[in-house]
Amino acid sequence: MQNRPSFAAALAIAAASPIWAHHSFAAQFDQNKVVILQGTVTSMEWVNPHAFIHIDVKNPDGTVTNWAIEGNTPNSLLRVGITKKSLAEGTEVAVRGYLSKSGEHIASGSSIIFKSGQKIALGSEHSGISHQEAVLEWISSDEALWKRQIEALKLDHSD
Amino acid sequence: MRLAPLALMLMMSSGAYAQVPPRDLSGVWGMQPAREASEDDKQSPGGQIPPLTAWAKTRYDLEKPGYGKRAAPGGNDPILQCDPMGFPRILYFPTPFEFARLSNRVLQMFERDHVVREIWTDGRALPNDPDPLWYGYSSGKWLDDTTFVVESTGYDDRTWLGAAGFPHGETMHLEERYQRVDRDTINFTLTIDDAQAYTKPWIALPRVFKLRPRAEIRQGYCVASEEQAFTKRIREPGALNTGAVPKK
Repeated sequence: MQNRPSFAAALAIAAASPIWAHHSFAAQFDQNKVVILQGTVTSMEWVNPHAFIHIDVKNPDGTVTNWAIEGNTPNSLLRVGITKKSLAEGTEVAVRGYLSKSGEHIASGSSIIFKSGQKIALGSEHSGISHQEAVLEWISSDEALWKRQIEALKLDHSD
Repeated sequence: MRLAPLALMLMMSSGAYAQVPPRDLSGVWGMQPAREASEDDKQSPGGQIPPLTAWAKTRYDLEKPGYGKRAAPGGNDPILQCDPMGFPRILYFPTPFEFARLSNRVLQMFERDHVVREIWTDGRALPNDPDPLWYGYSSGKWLDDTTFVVESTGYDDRTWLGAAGFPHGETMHLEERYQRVDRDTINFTLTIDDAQAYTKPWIALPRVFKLRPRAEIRQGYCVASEEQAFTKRIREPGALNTGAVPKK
């Protein structure tokens, strides 16, 4: 199987090109540092220029880290089907994103998966490389379902 | 000549052609990603940027954009404080706009800041020496059934032409052409004629707008307090560029 994205996939990437509002992604995030995090929504901030999804991620040592995942503008998220109900406190999600250069627990989200399997683009897509390895991959759940979905998140995040 | 009725039937049956309403751009439109050869094309008119005048160069050197070849963290982009984006910059911001047709004007309603721009279609001339406005003074006419041409001037010179931070003068004259080539597509061209800032007319990169039949314009306000919070949370820490990976 080839690693190159198909023409259709390339078009999908173009259609889902980042909608970053007036700040340079490269100044704040590192497109070579992909993170994949699975956890539980603690709060959602519907603010401009970018919404934030806060999730608690259980670390291997049992401690919990609260991550802030930067998403697209609130209006863009609403357009692709994310509402205040879909991200209620306690919702289990997994996200793929790019790490902040600041060293804080902040990532620029490229996609989010719900337990139902629904996957939604969060807006940040920069490399066009489908198989970039994550520098951080924290999965709290032992459920096989999550493991399968996170494999899908790694392989294809462009839609 | 016997073929003429057949040709007409074929034209009528080609769905896209038949469905284009004449002299009407009504609907919600979004800009399609373009082939951008330069960083300065992003969220900006783009294309071949003509030489700047000394007046414009002085301004340009003071501007610190977050996008383009000179992009740097921080900066003094007016929209970081939610100052009006102005025109044509708002056209390049990646949110949709809607055209609505009234008897004497076309409204161009932008999602960003819920801005409404009036394009007068009652045949009036542009004012000779207008007081500057954030979104200028605009007059439009149909060249034919599919091509709407808008001329405008009188733009407040505190706005940037685009995210890359190129300046303009108050007497800048714009000519926009919206050619609806099929039901779903507008080919857009823009010429910026601004002798105060550029030594010759600036032909912007051609763009394409696509109809978004299911979209509605939302209220995409810039909120100063939210922008400030974002600057503290993301822009300023990012500027430190430590590149560290948090430990598990």
